[in-house]
Amino acid sequence: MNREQFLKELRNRLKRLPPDDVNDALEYYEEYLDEAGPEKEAETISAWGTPAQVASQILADYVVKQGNGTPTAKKGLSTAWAVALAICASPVAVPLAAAAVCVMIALVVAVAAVILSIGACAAALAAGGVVCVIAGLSVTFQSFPTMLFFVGIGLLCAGAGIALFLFTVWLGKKGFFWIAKLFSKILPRRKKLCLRREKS
Amino acid sequence: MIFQLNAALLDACVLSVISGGETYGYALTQKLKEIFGLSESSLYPVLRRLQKNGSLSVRDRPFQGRNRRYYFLTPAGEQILTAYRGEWKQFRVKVDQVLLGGIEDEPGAIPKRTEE
Repeated sequence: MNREQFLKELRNRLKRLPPDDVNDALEYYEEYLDEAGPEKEAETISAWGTPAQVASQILADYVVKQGNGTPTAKKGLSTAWAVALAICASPVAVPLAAAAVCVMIALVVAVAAVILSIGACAAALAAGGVVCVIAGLSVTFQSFPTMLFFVGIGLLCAGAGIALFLFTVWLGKKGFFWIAKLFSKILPRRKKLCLRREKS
Repeated sequence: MIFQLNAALLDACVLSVISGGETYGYALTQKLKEIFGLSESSLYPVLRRLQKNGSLSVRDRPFQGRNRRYYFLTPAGEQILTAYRGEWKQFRVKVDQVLLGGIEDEPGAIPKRTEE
């Protein structure tokens, strides 16, 4: 593989990253070849490995970087996306990569569905509670005990709904993060150096 | 090599080499390749990471009609390097105690090695 082919394919494999980052990476490898000189060009490229390997090193570092810090649903999702990219870029058989990506999409969809349905439950509980309180208040003058009964039930429902809602938010943050973590663990580790997470 | 550099140790070594004077990717790789047998392509993610976390900065200098990107330490990078060096000294003492001294020996007592 010559210089142009290598750089072109590397650019292609990195194209999902921000353009500045892609250019920065390409400039680095280009400069590296310039320094090595034309006579060592072929040797240097073969020492690098395939463009897919080089790309997965760079992409793996994105996964690690985004995996640090406090988990949020957005961060978890973008990490999951980066993991999916890394799966595509790593030199495994294409069908295997496709299967891995499918499994991951399925997992994300399943978790999203569970979270959404719990969230809907929470909203229904809270709304039902509010309606119940209003209904109870409206019969205050007919029957005081009935009012107390319905207002009590209503408050209970609303409270449960709010608690469930908070749980849903927490689950949303964690769920996607867990998936991302799971998949970054089973990613093929060619270059362990770059994947290892710093403990600080 | 049986013992390998982990990410933190590699960061520390890269910072240390660069603290000796600004340098460019190829020269840095060659140096670390010579000492640690590092692979040719593994340094870019490290340099990028150190740049993003503010330890390193770059400046381009023209060289034979093209640009050479030089990496140098920022003040924050200097601090991080000092912290790494402190950590390493502590770590090294512990490993030396166990591996060279034996844990039952007096601290710091290193038995004579017959080899070398």
